[in-house]
Amino acid sequence: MFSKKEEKRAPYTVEQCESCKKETKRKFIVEQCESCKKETKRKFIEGDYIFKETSPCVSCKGQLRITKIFGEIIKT
Amino acid sequence: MGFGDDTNPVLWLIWIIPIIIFVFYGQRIQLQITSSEIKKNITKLQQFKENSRKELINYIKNNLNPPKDPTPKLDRFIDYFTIMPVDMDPGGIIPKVRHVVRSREDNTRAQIKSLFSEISELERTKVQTLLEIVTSLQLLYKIVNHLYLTAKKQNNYPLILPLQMMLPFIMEEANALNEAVPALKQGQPIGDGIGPMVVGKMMLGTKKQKASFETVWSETKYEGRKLFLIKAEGPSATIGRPGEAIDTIVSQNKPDLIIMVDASLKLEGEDSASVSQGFGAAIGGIGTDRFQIEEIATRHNIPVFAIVIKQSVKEAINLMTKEIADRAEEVRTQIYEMINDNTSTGHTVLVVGVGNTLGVSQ
Repeated sequence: MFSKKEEKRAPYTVEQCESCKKETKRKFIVEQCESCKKETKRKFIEGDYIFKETSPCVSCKGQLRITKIFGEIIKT
Repeated sequence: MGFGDDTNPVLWLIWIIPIIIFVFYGQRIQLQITSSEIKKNITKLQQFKENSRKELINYIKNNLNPPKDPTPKLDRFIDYFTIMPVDMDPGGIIPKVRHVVRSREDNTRAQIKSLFSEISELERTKVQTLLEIVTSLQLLYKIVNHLYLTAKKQNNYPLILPLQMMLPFIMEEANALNEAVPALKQGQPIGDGIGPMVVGKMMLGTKKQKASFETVWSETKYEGRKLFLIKAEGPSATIGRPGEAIDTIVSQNKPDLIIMVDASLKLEGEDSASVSQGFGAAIGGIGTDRFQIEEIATRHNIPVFAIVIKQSVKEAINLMTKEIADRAEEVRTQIYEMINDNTSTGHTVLVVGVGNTLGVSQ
């Protein structure tokens, strides 16, 4: 009942549709200055985590803290 | 003689032969069609299992410098199983379940530590979570393959029907687990981490103390109320032990209200990242923590309120989406509204952020 051909089939490969190929997931973080509350968005770097204190704020020299890390689907 | 003539023996045969074939071989034909689809998914599950195992081994070898090859030991851990206690026990099964699950966790932790001469807590929790993913994928593959091979061996179509019905749900979970591996390796927050993210911000600038294993608490003030905050200790990949932590804080401080914030699986048709309020202990898992929280809340007559952030299985264990991350501020506002509406000045409130705190500090 189960054909020999089916049993010997080549290993399964993940199929991607045309639209999936055109989508990539980018990782971003949002930093907020604790003094002037200014928000900046940049790409995620390994070692980043939410509420980590990063660099001084370019506007007021206050402390920047990561408030969000998220993935966004970018359609290219 | 025409096509409408039902006395024609040739036409009569054209009608009757397929009927005879379907009467005697119908189930086999259906089994053949169904099984080819299932076989495709089994091969996909096998690929997920092998890829995740390979990624775990490569991650350990390339990033954590183990003194010797960890592959044989890891393969043994991946095959570990858990025998749940007998469930007809009227004396109470919860402590037994907790004991079995804790024993497994403690043993896995010790075994992972033994692979390295030195490993940070963050890396140890990441390896432990990755190991759980590989084990889950291996289990899914084994169960699906077993059901498929049994139906094939018995030549039994009805036996394959439950598998065919369940397979889309199994594959959804397997896909989510498979896609969770990169986020875990890089220590990025996952959708389930929204609870700790909300409470973590409320904890900033407060003194953090250990409440229970891998769980921290701190105290703050809000409009004349004393707030106790609990979450798993981030940014490690852990859910902590919220049941024990709540037990400790409630016994010592007798709060007037408990608010639990957690991610929740959305129903089909519900919007992702929508926020809902309700009553009861908002916590997933095997049920031991929920039992403990319900028991202590009942003993002290404390109302338990819940705020949940809805998401799919995939969103819950993959890198947090922007929509979910953007909800954190709204949830925090809802917590403060809930405190204002249900307590008055001088009251004490316990706020618990439930979920995996990977990539979320406090």
